[in-house]
Amino acid sequence: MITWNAFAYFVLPTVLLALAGAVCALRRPSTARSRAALWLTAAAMAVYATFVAGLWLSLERPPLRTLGETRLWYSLFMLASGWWVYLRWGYRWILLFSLLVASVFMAINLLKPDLHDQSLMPALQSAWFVPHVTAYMFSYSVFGCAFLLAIGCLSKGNDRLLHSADELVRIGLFFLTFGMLSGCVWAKQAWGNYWSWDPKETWAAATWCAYLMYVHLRLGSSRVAASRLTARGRWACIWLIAAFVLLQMCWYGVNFLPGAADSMHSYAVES
Amino acid sequence: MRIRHCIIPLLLAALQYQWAFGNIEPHRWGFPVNGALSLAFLAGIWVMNNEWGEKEWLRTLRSGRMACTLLACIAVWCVAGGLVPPHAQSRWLSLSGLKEFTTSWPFVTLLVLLLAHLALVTLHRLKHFDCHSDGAFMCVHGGLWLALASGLVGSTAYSDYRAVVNRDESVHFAFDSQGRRHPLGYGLQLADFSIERNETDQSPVQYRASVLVDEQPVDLAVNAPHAVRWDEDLYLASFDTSAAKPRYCIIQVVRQPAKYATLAGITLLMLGVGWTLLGRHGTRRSYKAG
Repeated sequence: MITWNAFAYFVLPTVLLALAGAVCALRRPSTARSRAALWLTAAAMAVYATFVAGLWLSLERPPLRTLGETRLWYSLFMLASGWWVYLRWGYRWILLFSLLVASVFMAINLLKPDLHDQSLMPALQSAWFVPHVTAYMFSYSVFGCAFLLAIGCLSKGNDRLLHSADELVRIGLFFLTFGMLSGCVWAKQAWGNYWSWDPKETWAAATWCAYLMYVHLRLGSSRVAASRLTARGRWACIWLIAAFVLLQMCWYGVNFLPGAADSMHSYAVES
Repeated sequence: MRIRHCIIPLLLAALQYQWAFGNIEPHRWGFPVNGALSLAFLAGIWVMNNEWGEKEWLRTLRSGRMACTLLACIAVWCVAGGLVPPHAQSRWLSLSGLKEFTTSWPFVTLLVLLLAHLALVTLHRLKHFDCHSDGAFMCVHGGLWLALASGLVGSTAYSDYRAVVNRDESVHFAFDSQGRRHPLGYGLQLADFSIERNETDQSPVQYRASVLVDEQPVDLAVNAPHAVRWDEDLYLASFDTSAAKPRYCIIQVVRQPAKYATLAGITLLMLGVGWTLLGRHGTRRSYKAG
């Protein structure tokens, strides 16, 4: 049986393997992909995914109920997104950065383990539960990579990375929209209305509008990378960072606001 | 024509309305007012598109910059409204419309502008429609328009009541959040109730009710509502927690005539978003043309 007690034994090899992969990627002088980096990171993900699958089996429910459990998925998808970005565009530093972000969430779970009973509360017993939460978690991790690219873009002063961020935002927006719309249909089934402007829904709407605006802002942009970051590109980076801050508010920041107690999504608050 | 020349006067007018009349009360805009306004809106968009389709101000209204501005304004308004504590008592918050921001004049103005923008870009694209290059665009924008419009107009006809249903007798009315009594048009009576509890802390894992709707047995559970009419659903909301064998349950009665239109909009939007991701075409051409 794999329980939270075994979490540290899975995190350590995951971080070591992913770190070895990141170092292999960084040692490559050009954008040529390192096979070792790809395999080592894939092995790290496999170890971590084994823990998630084992926890799912031992809990007899998908581990998606609490913030601690969603952090588990986020760190897994963060590694997967970084791996995919490296495979697709060959940015040497992305594996290290995605590992750093994933490690923060692993560390929070290690330092503050969430131990729960084995039952799933009635409102969460729905066929929409798994697709809704996993789509959101995957979009969050993809937006996490886009956020890193925006920071890289601002610090390097050219908009080469911004075109990759555009691709990531399009993919992330697809999953975010699917997560939101599946949530709408589920809300109608469970609570009687598609959208009720619950605090979580309000922040989700703000986040969705922010990323949708980014997509529209970038529609007329040139596909040719400029040597210097244009004013329009700088605004796009700043907006992408702001959208990621909104996403953090929607995910867990909303739990610290006074309205959280009245939220219908309050089962996501840590117990 | 600059976008700020269009949006700022409208938002200022909306704020004046907010100061003068307070928040919008959706039920006051119910049928036939909502139907008349919807028809006027659609006719206005149709005339604007046909008569002044190539005018500069209309091109501005359907431009990508307009989409950006409206989305940014809505995001900012949501953030401002989301930061306001739900039970805050401040005259300034009421005057600005940030208290219960979703029914404030500025927010509804922004939503109506977004609906106008979506309708204009959709109609414009319809003129030279080609399924291969325009399909995804039409699904995304048409779907979002349908979902938003049915949500906005449908909210005026939406009602949510609660009925205490017990085993002894059939109830024929329910109460709204203000405590007003509303006739149901059918009878509800509790026939059976079962609770599955967690062995460790005895918290309810799942609960189900068998309810007689005009003597016909109907099973209700969380996430499993029952459609009693085409526009009306029954939900199991709560139950008697004071007794080991519950004597009553709370049934939520939801009337939402626009529910199928919203669902169609959601489906269309989802289809369009998937199509856009896989096809990677459609959006760029429209805004350049617009």
